[in-house]
Amino acid sequence: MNVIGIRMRPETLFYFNIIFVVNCFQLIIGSVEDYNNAFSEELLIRPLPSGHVYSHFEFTTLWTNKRIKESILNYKDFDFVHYDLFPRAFGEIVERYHVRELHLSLTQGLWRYHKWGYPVVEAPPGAQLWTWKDLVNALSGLFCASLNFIDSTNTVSPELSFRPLGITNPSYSQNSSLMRYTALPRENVCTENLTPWKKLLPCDTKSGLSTLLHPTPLYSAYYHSLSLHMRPICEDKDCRTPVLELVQSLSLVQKLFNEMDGRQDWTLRSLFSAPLISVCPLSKISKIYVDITENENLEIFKLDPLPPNVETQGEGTAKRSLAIYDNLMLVKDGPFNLQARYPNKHIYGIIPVPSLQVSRFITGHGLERGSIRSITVKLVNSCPNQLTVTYLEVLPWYLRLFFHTSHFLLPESSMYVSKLVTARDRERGWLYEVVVTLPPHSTTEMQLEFGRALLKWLEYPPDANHGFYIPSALTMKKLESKSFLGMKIIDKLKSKFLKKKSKEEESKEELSQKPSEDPKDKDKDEDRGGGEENKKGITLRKRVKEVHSIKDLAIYSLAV
Amino acid sequence: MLAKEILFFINPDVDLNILTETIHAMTFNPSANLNPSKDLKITKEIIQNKGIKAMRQVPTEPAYDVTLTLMLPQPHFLKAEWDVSAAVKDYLDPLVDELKDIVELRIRSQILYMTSMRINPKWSSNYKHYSLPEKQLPLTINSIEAKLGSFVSTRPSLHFIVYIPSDLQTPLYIHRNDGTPLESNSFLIPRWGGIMIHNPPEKLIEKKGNSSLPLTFQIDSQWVMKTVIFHLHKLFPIPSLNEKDVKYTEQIYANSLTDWQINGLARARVLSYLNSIKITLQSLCDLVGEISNMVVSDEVAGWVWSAVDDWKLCLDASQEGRLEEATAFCKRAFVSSDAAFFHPSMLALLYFPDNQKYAIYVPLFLPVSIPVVLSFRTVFKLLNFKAKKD
Repeated sequence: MNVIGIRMRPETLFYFNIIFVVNCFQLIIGSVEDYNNAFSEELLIRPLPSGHVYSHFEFTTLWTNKRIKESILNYKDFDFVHYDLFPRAFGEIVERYHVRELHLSLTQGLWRYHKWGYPVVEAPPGAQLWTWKDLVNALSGLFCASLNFIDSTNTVSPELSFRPLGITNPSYSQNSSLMRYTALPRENVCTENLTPWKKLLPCDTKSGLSTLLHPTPLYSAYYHSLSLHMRPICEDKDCRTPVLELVQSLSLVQKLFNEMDGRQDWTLRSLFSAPLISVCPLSKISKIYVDITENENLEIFKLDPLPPNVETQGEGTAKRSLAIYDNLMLVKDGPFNLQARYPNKHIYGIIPVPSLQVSRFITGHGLERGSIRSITVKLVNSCPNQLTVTYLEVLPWYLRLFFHTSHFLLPESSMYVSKLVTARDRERGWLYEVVVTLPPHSTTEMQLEFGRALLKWLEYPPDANHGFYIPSALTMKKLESKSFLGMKIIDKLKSKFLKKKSKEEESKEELSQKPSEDPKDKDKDEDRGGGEENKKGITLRKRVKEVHSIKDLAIYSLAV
Repeated sequence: MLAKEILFFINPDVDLNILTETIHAMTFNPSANLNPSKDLKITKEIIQNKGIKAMRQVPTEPAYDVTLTLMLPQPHFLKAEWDVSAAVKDYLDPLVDELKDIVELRIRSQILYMTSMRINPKWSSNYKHYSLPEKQLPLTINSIEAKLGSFVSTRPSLHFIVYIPSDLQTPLYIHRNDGTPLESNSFLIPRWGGIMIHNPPEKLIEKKGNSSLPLTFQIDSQWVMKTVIFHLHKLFPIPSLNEKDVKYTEQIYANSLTDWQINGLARARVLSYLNSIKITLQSLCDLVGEISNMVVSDEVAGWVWSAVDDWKLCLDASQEGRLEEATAFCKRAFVSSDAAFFHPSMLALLYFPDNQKYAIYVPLFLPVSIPVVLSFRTVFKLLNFKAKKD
């Protein structure tokens, strides 16, 4: 089975290496705080069969030192003192609110799975936040987003969905009470969120790939997602050197057709309204990748300049080829404007559907049947294997769900409710999490009936014409094969690159560090939560716990 | 740590006049020895007289965030290496430790890349360096302040910036108004912190043409940290002797604070706490008195009561010279008075003072009432008309 979303990149956990030791002289061993940190900037451009162009920026900051190692391995709060590349404004929040892992995304627009395939990082429209240990309200100040609307009525702790993506031991990762997830579908994203997000980058917008981020092309895109992910990861197999990773990513889907011409041509200038003129001097890696999976001979479109390097990975449907440009080499000769030229007009055809598709919509209308409507979910499994997925629905309290009449239309699909939290008025929302087995080549339909509670006049959201927004539902599937999707290749390359440079430091590290703990204690847990659990019920969890592709949301409005 | 008694060792040959002057300067520091309950006026006067020096002082609070920032505007050209943790350990930690009973300092450091100050230095041909005139100094921090801070902590923060000038401004020296360069090449920003301009070694700049970039150099930790400590002394301020007094005293512990300095600081801070708590509580009182229907929750009332109690204890302790206890009580009182004043429930509802209610309702009801009043005339007319008819 392959290709189901890749929020998590399991194999990357072990490949990172840290380079870059700034202060080498240690006066007293153990007292010196070393700045072991590295920064990389990458851009993946993937022309989509629908005529759109998908671009994904990824800025990664890795950081480790003695204190961080200790906090990660012993599950202590982070205690940062001397910041270098890692942004202090964010670090202070992590420290103060005892965060171990944090994922925040701000998204405008809807990812069209059936047309665009799977993105590198999934995000539902609006704001989404999931963190470990504590909910972080200070973030709303940092990102100028209305995250302060997050309260007990829309915060949940799902049982199986969202496991830690970083290193944890099984008992920690299975403890869902440490995890909070919330989504604000109403939240708009605009430049006021982009500016503070850019400020967290070590080079700001002064140089490097971040100079391409001009608000106008960004916010006129079909889909735009801004995100920030922090997690502890492992550098080596034994997990002797845990590293804190901060990934800031930005995804865009644009369509810049010249309608007259009908070609899918794009250049850096047409995508971002500027060519690349510099590289962030602090970055160890600064690269642009172009996905040329169906275009290995450069027949469908030509790249100018020709890619100096092409990397291919995976087999069958999971095969991916990337053209790799090293920006450092390219910007030396003046502004670098990567161009793709299509000799032929774009032809709209049938786009092969992804293996798993989910759509959700509201059925029923008006006030007949006591104004009972239903949320209908269609899960389409188009691959030849059986899939077991977790489906998570987080709904506001003012919907009254009727579970006794909820049902699956396909009888042979097995279903199991892993967690159900019933709503309490004005106190907490619904959490409905089910595990569904989808037979091969099938469509499974699920209906959840609901009515709507009466609200006090102050509880209605502003802008009555919008109606009510309901957060996206989520479908998660454990990836059984280590399949691709874009960034995995990047990570591989990255790790290779970093490894070469860091061999010397690595050996030093190992000498100076005594493995004080039994390595069994800190299960490095490739598939987070992993480990060999024998308890009942956990097998199921094990099967499902993995990766997720956030599916579909209905921006849904009820007449007020 | 805070001693009640201080032992003086006096040289028998000393001139008595000088002795009294020096001891007076050390113990009867005017801002440190006032009876706060009576003398609010006097402190104000002193502040007026002392002028700039008093404005320099940071607001009195139990804890501060001290941030050391290394600014590298051109990391691709110049790279500075600085072992901050060692520098902090060697220079600042002893000071933090000495002051820990009086004030808590939380030290953090960060490096800011690609950010430069908006300054316009001029080439000074006399001195063969770039000069930064004194009058530009107040504007330096405006462009960088947004990047320095964090939003999380409510403690006041003190920033110390080590600025490495960019390629086209090296070497950079601050010039006085009369055009002479400032030896320290650093300046203090009142209530905020300090900025040090750290030029790379001249040799390094000379060979910039023929060596690979970035050029790397070591930050002079000793100079930076001494300046930071000097600025910290001025910001609190930690009492010190005038130059004329210094020559009569033996400087035995040159690197650490003497007991009388710590005592003086503690005394000044207790005084300042007593005043600010009083002002906070007073304005809270005024506010509640002014808005008669304001809801004061039990929690807020509790904070106020504990602040008042601690304030009293602090006052008693300070009058008896128990400085350590006084500091502890005052800190507690300060925290609870602030908690009461800034409690979210105090602002949960919108309150209008009575005079504002009139201001809102009169323009609404007056125009509405005019046609109503006028219609009475018509009614009377009608009644009159009917009466006549009858």
